[in-house]
Amino acid sequence: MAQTPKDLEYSILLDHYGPVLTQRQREILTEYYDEDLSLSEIAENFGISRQGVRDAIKHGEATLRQMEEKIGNARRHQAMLADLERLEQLIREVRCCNSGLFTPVPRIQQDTDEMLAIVERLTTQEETPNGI
Amino acid sequence: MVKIRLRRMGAKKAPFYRVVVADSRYARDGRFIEEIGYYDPTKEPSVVKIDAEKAKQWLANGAQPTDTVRVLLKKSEIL
Repeated sequence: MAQTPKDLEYSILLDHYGPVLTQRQREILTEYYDEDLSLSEIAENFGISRQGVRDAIKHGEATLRQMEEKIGNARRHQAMLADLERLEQLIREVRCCNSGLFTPVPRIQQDTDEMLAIVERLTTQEETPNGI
Repeated sequence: MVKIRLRRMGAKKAPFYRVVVADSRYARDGRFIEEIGYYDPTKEPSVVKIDAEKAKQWLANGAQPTDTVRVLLKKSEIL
């Protein structure tokens, strides 16, 4: 039981690069990271040895790490999300300033509405399709 | 054995975890007995919220936390 705790970062890498793994590796890593199952529980589910599960996880992790080193999708995506969050904040500030005016400018209201919709779309668009 | 483990929810690339109590015999189908909290690593700093009362009760009844949950329990000073 004396293992270091799981690094949940792999769960995010799995979202980005899952499709490059073999299906079995992907399934094992999903159970390990997303469902927080233990090696022995996974071994039982797959009918393989605990060591086999461990090897599959180590290999899978190494692949995910290499992909991230070379491509850096996860890092960039993270940075983009942070930028989008800040952008949304700024847009809301502008809206707020506008609606505080004695005569709010309808055009600003309208345009910031559209901006917020775009931010929303950019934030969520990459969450649905399958990896990479 | 009854276990306290994380269970990933949330969207792709934006993980969010529930802390659940589950029977390890049903490790496959995702059935769980009770939800006792959540963990959101996407926030800075990450947010951990666990019902201390329920957690302590389950621990006293012999539920085993996984290593990841153990860390969270320590972080929220339940263990």
